[in-house]
Amino acid sequence: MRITDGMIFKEIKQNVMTARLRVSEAQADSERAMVGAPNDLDPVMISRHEVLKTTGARLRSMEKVGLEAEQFLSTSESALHNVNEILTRVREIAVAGSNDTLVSENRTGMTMELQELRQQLLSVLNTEHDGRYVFSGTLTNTEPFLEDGTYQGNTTVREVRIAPSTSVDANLVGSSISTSGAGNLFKILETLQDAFNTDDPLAVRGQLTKLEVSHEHIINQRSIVGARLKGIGSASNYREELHLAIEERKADNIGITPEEAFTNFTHSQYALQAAMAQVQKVMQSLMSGLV
Amino acid sequence: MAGMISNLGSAKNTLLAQQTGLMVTGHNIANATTEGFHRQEVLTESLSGNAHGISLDRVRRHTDFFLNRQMMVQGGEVGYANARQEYIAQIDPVLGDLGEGGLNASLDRFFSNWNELSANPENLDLRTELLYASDSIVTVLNRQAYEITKARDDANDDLEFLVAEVNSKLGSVADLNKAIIEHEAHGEDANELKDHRDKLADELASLIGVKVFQQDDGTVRLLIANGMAMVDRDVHFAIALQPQDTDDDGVLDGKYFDVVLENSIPIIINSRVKGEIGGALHFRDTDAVGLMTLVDELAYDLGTEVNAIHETGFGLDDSTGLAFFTGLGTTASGAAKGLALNTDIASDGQKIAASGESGAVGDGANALRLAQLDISDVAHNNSRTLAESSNFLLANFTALKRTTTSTQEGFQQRYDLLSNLQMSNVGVSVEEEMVVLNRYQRAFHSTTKVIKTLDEMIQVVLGMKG
Repeated sequence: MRITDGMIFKEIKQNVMTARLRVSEAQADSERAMVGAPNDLDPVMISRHEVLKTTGARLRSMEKVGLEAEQFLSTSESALHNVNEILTRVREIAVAGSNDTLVSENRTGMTMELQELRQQLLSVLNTEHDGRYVFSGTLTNTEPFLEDGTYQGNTTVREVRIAPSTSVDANLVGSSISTSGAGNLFKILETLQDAFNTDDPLAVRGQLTKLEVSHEHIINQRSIVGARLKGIGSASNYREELHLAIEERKADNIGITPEEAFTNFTHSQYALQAAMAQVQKVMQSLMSGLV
Repeated sequence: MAGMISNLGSAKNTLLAQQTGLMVTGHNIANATTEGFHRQEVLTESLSGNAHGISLDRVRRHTDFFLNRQMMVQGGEVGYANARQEYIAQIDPVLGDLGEGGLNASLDRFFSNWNELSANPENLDLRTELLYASDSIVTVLNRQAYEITKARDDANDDLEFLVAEVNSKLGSVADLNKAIIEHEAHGEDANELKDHRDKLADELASLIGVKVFQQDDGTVRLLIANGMAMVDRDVHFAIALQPQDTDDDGVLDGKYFDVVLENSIPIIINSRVKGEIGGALHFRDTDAVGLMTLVDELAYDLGTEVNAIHETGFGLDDSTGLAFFTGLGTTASGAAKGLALNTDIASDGQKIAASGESGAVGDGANALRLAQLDISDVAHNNSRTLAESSNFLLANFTALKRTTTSTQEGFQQRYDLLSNLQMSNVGVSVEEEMVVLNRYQRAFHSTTKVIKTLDEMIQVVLGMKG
């Protein structure tokens, strides 16, 4: 084959351009290896990467929802803890008040304390979280309990998504807290207060069992909240595991590590320098032929 | 004496042939870098009979028509692939965006915000965030539709100057064919004219994809696919643009053009052309249309599915029955361009219907239903999720980008290979020309010696007579 000048110049120009292109590609590879982006000419790689990104975005969203639900339920749990404390004290007073030997002055003091405890109970069951009433169902802008203990909320339970295929009920409805097998808690307290007011130990004793049932009911409600909080915790661990798996798969999908990319980049620079040196050598030999 | 005079005549012929050789070699060296130049060579013939020495036969222009034809075919494919690649690169920033501003990321944010709102529907900040995410998705889809349409329009507009360029070159090739016939009829060589004409034919191949056929009279015939002639000797057939009859009513009033071969009845040649014109047509009528269909379908599926659920829910102000997205028609066509966020909702986040129950501001049931759309097969005739549809669009675009890139590279490599073979055959090697120059120089020198010797001999003979 004849080798013409055009071929020589075209060849060396092509070599330099190819070497430059390789440097540019190696640089792009380094950048995407650093930021964890796929090759933008590989539809399969891009598709996988995008699916993983979407899954990651869903998990981050569920994480926020999980955190919100955890805080909401923690406030509910804290309120139920207070209700438990209040009912423990009410029971102590009721047990003391059921004693026939109790003097009238003490009974009056207890009556006042009972009144105070009822107010506390009302206040606790009207607890707010971030400006939302926690026990009014989904009518979160409506105070759940009126002064007389009437429930104003609704019975809707809020379901939220906290992990793939995992939802949790994020609220406890006030009516299900205040009402147990023994009846309405406020009614029981009202009856108890009346018994103290009328100095009637027998009637006080009559409310003791109801109080115990109500107290037990509150403990059950607390354990429901506790179980939900535990569920949120395990969903959080599940999300964390998925996150890690996603990051690993994303790294695998990129197909190149930063170390490999750096080596390739160095190699391509070396090749470009060699191509430039070739230009110089070819020019030298052509020029020497003309002299 | 007569023999010596005759020898002097032969030496003169030889000298002239060598002078031509020196001139042609110099011409070759001077054009070593001229694009399209074919090296030339002096062909001599040995004289016989009473005459001796050599005489100039002709100046031969090196060429290889087979290779030339192959190169033109590949040139047409390269032009075709280059044009497609350029238009695809134009929409790449919007359709191939893998970053936070891309379609997938916007869709992820949109559904994530619905999920977050479902847990805290009274939160006005979350509602504002959702409005931003919704606006972002609307913007991305609008922009995708705009960029695809703009690239289609650009391809259509580019046809105007491409067609003008083709017509100008077709005319020039026909004129050059004519000049070649005339030159050769007068016994002159038309090598430069042929170089010029072949270069134009190469450029035509890259513009519209033509095949070349050599004629006996030194002219070329240029044909497009299907064998329709565009140049035949000194006649050329111009092409033109004709608005499409999009609605089949017989009125040519479409926005886009067909490429036609001018005739008493113009013949539409869209499917018969390659080169940049073929590439522009393919992008405008196939690549862009396919992508737009996917973008429109996604916008339509997203809009209708979100609206269907949103309309059943209740806002913080108890508003209900509101479409979340507006600008949708009864079919997917034009959905991406028209999609907009309901202005009532955009100006008042309280109208976002997160609740499934009237008056229940803390209810996020409707927001949760909307959030769960991202895992429901509601797109592409209920066979994919919206995220899968968005991903399908991205993968489709990437595949198109990769295919055009690898096709372009493949054709370019084949073209370069043929071009190398062509260059090997018709290109100039300065070293070789230097050797040839040296050879002619020596021969010229020797011939002048012969003339000098003959002259001396004649002088001697003339001296004897005196």
